[in-house]
Amino acid sequence: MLLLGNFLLIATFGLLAYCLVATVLGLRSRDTRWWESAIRAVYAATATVIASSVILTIALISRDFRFEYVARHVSSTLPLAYCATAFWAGQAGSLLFWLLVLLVFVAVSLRLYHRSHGEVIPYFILFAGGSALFFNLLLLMFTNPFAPANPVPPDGLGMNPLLQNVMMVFHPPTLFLGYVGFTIPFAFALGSLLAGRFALDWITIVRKWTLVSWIFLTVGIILGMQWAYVELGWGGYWGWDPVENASFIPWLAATALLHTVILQEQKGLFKKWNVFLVVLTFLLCIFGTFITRSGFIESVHAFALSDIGYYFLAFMLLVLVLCLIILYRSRKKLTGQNHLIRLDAADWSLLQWLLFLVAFYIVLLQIRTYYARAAEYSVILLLIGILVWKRSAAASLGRKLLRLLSREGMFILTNFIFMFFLLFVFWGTVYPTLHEGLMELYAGFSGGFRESVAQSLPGLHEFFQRKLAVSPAFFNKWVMPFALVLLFMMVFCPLFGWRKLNRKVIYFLLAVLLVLVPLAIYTGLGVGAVSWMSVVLFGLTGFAIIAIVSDVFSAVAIRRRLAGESWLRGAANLFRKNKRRYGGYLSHIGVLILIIGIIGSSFYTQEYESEVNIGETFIAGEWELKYVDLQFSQDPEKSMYQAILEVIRNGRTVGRITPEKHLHRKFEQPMTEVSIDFNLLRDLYVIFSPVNRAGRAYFKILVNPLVIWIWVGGLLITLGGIYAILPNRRRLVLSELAAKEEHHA
Amino acid sequence: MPEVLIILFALLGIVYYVCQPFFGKTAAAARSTGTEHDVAMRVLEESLANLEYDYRAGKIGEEDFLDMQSDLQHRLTECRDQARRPAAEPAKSKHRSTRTT
Amino acid sequence: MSQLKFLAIALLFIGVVGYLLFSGLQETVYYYTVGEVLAADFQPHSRGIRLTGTVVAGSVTRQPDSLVMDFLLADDQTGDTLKIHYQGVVPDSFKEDRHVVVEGTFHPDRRQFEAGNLLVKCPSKYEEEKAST
Repeated sequence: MLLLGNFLLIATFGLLAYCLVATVLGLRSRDTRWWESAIRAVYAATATVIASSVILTIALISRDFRFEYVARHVSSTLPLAYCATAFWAGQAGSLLFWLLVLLVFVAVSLRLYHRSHGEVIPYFILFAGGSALFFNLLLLMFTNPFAPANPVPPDGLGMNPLLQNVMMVFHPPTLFLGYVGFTIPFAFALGSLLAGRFALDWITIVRKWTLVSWIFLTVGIILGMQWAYVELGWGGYWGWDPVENASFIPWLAATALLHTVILQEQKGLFKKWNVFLVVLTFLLCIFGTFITRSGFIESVHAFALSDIGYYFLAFMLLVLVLCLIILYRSRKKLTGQNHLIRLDAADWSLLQWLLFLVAFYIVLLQIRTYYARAAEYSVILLLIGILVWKRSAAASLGRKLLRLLSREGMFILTNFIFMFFLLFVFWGTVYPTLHEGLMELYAGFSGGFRESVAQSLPGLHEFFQRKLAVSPAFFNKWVMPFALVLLFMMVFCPLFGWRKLNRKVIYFLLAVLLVLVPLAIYTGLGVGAVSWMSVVLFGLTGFAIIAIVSDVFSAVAIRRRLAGESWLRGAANLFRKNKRRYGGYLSHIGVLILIIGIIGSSFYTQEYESEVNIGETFIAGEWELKYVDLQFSQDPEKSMYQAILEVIRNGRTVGRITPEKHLHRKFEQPMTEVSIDFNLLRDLYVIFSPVNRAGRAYFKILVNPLVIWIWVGGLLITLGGIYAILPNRRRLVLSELAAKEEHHA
Repeated sequence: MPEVLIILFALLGIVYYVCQPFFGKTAAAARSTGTEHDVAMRVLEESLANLEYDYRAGKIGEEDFLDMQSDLQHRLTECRDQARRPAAEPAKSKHRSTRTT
Repeated sequence: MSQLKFLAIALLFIGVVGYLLFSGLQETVYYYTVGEVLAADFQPHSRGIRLTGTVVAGSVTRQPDSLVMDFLLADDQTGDTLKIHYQGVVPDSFKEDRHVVVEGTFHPDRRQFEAGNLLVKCPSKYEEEKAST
């Protein structure tokens, strides 16, 4: 079996290498037989990878400890279901899984497009096959899943108890499907570009595959959050850990792409930017895999960094350089017909002055002396001075910028927000590692130089001498303005039309301000015990939902008027006929509901803790908890302590909570299994630690409001994405609809 | 031993499968026979319908609406014309129109 | 013209990245070893620091009616030890002889470190623990 597995892996490598060579030969000789053969090689490679995955799965299920990978991740006591999922529990298995998914996706898209997009296919194979070859190389060189165990152990090490969870069965594969899926739009976009077939439908195909991968990525992230919430036992679902960020960063890029694709399809704008975003998303997916699989970036440096990281870095660099060259060389083909704003020399000189003013103000802010107020006034005076001095340019620029207050402008703004957020999450994730590079650089300077720095600038000297960590506070600080702006956009975007600002937006803005500002001031003055920020956030979320619903409502009203349909039928037809727009709306509502859950659980969490004996009762907010019993049980893998608690509210028993503590024999460490009593308003999240053998126990209770809406929101985002991807039937333009109605009458 | 036999047979099978195109005659040049115009037309039709909803909902002024509508319709007819003569335009011309949707 | 444009965009980019850098540094914590903290010339930080070391076997004491725990943290190189005072839920993987990171502030007067955050490094046996999240 080991031999066969190794053979299949090497055969895959040979086939992939051959398909690249054959493609290049085909491109040179224009002999299509080479391409046919290359396509067959990809199919054959897919088959061999599937076969090798089957072998690994069989080895895992039959607990064949002759495989080193099996011996490391499975034990004789591990439940069978987890044996199979150990496929993606380790590095070697997960890279094999990556290769498997990639080749299946590539084979599917070859089948779909090899006739309709004949001339794109060779280039497509070059990119997709190339990245498959890279992962295959990693498998053969560094982490071979078919390495023999030496000596063969009587029993395996088993799986980390943290991974023994239903969420962990689904979370890694969905995340991987998402990561891998982005290879297809990447290869297809660049392939179309190189083939010179950059017209018409490439963006639609790119959009379809991006959406598919985006759906998987979203589900993967949500499942990861659920796993963290249920299994890690600290009561939160997101900790800005590099590994979490690794999945969030490509998600941001892909989401930005999904938005600008619309702009290209409908207005011919943003063509270069879209290609760039496709490449960026792909690179960030590789980066995500790199973070999770190489141990290069880790807040808690636990395991030695392996050479595999350098190969990832080299691969990413190669792809980046290659793509930039291709993008640069085909920039002319990607020029759009439309320009939203065209700035001339006068505009630029004005902008230059304004930029200078901003820089000046930032410098003043950093100096922060007691005459800062005077500095602010001087900046304002300068601003007025510049605007008066260049008033004609200011007026023309103002008119141009006003055009940004349109649907096009909102798309662009959205895109900027996503990019900004991406940049800063990326920065926070990689900075500690970059800093280590800086430290090495500094250590390379002469001792005398460093001595003098230490004398004159001790703070700087220390900065370059110390390893550091970016705390979650950094991310949390920046999430708030991001969420505010994003919510503001979501309130108004459905109301904007193309090209110009319309009255609806202004009226709605007034309504929002009239309601929100007094409410925020009211809570800000300390009348309510809640923070005014959360009130503003909740309010914006509510308005955003209202905006979406009212937009749907008015569209149904139009159908009603023109085609004489009933409300229900009109809505059904509307949704059926335009799956893309209304799928998008559903996703947006999902995001808003998810945000409600996040606001609730980050502003209003309450914590209680107590140490009690069996039979005692303690109070946690409006709940009374009675510690009824402690039960002990065992299975071959672990021993389990289960505390049984009754939840009492207003003297009535309303539920039972059973948090547990497990002791896994193989792992000599206790596992906290929290218990959650949830309803639509709050989660009662109970953590249990036994204190002594007599049953005395410590309980920590977290009341996390609205957490369930995070999962509901995640579900809706996913469903919206799925709905948006379903094919639309040919649709009637409204005027045709009206004509039909008249005809009937 | 049976493992080695399986490997040998698999190897032979793979080589035969991959090399098969070379046993036959040269196939016709790969070209797009496809759906690109269909897809593009569908997107354009969608845009037209959306535009009309936006107009009737008061999100777009009349002038802009008519302008954008005629632009979209123009692109749609262009697309239809291209779709009517798919075989007439072989894929070898690399520098074809890049007018896009 | 295009040079000017390029300059403006470059300036903006540098500005944004620079600002990110700057704001990032405000929320970072430095790593120290026990030996460095105990050295005579140590200057306490207002922001708090991270301390790495190994939990000394037999030094862990828990106070009965609360979630307060004290233990000694040993420097991996010098072997100096420092008393750590920690309040909070103890991570499942916390054990004696294990490598840990504590985050908090050092009080030179009491020669004690008040930790608000306790992270346990995963020994190689759990290698995949982080890798799979």
